[in-house]
Amino acid sequence: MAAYLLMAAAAAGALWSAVLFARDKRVHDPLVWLLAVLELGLLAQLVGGTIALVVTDRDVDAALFVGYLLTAVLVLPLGVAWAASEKTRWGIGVLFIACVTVAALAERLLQVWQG
Amino acid sequence: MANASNQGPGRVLVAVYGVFAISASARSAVQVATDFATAPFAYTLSALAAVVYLVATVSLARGTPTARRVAAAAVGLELVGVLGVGTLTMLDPALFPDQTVWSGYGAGYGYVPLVLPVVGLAWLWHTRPRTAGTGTGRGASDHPAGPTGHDG
Repeated sequence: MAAYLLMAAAAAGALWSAVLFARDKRVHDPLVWLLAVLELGLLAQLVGGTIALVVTDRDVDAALFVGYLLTAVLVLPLGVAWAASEKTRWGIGVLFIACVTVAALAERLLQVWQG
Repeated sequence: MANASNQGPGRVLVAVYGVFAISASARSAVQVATDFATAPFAYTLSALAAVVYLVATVSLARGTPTARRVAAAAVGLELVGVLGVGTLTMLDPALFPDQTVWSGYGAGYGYVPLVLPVVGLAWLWHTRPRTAGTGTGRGASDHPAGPTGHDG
């Protein structure tokens, strides 16, 4: 399922952020590009997940599921915006939190889907 | 610069608060909208927790002297909430047919809800205005929002 791919990408983002943080780097473009790709994946997940929810005959908690789908889409843009104006390594720290959050949301989505 | 509540490590603190503000609000909205009657007490506390996290996030992010006082109140209430609800869920689980963020001292969230208010209060203390005499604290309104894009 696509959620595993997103979880892996989010984990990669978290790992990369941790390395950059340890090396005292600031927010820089390559990492933001990775997050942009991840965000596209999350948008696709929002669309795909909603369709899957309509089509499936599983007993999925719809409000909860859509809530997680929407939240997952919000996290990275907010995180990048908040990190961008920080001039120290702690901007990277914000992106780390954002990535961990996306991974956690993807895992919760799987749980809700599997019931 | 290091004195402002929303700079440096404070930025990450605000981010973590933001995560909890969003997730607590979303969870609370779902609970209240779908089946409030199942667990009115737990769901009311969920909504309260969401408000506390929202206020804490915004006030920590603003970092002005007034906002810092609001932040201290919100974070203090958060500490009382997680300790109170955590204890209640231990003593009388029947009160809570469904989870709140603060159930079991935040066990469902890796105890972050328990640690967060302690860190928050410590951070507010650490960044408190230290200029004696003048009553004005240090605002945090003037950091240039420079573009990113270059390495350190």
